[in-house]
Amino acid sequence: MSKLLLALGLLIALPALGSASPAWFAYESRPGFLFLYEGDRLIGQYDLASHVYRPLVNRVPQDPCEPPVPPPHAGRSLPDETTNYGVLSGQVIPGYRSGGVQAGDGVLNDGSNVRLTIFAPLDRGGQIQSEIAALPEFQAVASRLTVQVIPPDHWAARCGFQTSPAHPTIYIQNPDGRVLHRQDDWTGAPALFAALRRVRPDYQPTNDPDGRISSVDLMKLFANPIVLAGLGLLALIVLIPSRKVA
Amino acid sequence: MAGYFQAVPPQPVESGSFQEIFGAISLGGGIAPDGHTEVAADLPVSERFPNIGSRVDGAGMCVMTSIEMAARWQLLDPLRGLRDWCARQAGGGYPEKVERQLNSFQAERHTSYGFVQWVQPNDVAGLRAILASGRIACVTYAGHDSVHYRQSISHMVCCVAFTDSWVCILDNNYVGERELVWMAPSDFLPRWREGGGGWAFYWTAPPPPPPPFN
Repeated sequence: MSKLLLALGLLIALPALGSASPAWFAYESRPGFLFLYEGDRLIGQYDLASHVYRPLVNRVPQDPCEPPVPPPHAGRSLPDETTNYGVLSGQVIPGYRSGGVQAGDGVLNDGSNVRLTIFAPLDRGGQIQSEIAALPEFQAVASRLTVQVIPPDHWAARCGFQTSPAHPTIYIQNPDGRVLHRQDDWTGAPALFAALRRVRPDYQPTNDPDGRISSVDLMKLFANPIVLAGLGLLALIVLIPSRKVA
Repeated sequence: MAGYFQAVPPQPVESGSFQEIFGAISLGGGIAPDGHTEVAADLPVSERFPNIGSRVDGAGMCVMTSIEMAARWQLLDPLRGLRDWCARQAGGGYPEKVERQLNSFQAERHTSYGFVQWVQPNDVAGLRAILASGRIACVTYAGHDSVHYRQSISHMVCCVAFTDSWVCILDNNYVGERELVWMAPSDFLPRWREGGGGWAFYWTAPPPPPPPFN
């Protein structure tokens, strides 16, 4: 028992080692200075005019030294004279709206779309994309699918995707990035759609439920023979008196 | 020296939002000072480029610089060179001019990418919806943040994050890896609206696919 208590007493609580990286902050009340924080601890200050960094110990400046993290304005002064970087404010008319697509048309509602990405040279990728677009099954789900062609050497392909210039690579992903399917060749749109259905069997837009209940729906409900039989059985259970055993 | 920092905001306390604790607009990378909020549009440094002046009159090209960076994010590679093409004309931008130049440039390039822009300082929901979809919103910005600017400015930047707690902007005057500007929405919105602003622009093309995981 004493050993058990000893073991229980040996609780090792390792402190979280999640110290934040140093970060620079600026305050409107102290223009001309940047302040360096490590987590919530103020560790230094940088004078933008003299380009001098002083570490702080108990908020007291120490002798100048190199900052542990270069300040963003090192060697540069804050722009002071030029105030217009290219917006002609006088010609920005409140209420203006333009564009080939009006906001609210659903353009911004594609965040929940499944992502289908074709990593291939643009001409080959375009052919594949055309084959996909021509398949009626894909057309039925087009509004919930985002299809893109990205060359294998594009910066967007270098974010963890396994691609090769030697062959097309097809990725199907959930909106959060989870990979549902990947293939390193092209075997036609029907095979790809079959893969999509296997990984997302719920992908059947014709089965999308309509949450609205109308009187017509209720009439149809009560015209259903199975529903009628069930209601009849329920009535029998309720109306037939139960026998009491003496 | 003990009172040297009396003007500095108070030391962090144990509770309260990050902005309450620090009360600051800060510089950083793709993750907010809270350590977990990420940008919605993580445009690589390789795809960022700085503002320039027009070759005709020297006026700033922040509008088309922002718009082309947004186009690069959303994989509209045929639009590369848009800003420099516009710089061969007089600088400075406003919505009608943007529409005119985009239509002309796209006609030359035989493209027809859709875009939407509006000047509506109260349409915060519309602005947030752009970022929620993973797209970049090009927005007016009045500066005076003591991070990049002491004074008020007329500028357009890329908004790359907009959550309940954080707004992050990619400023085409400062395109380094850790020169994104993080602030509270309450600090951003007045700077977006100031000086007749409230102008927002976005390309309708979808953003790139998210990084894969399994």
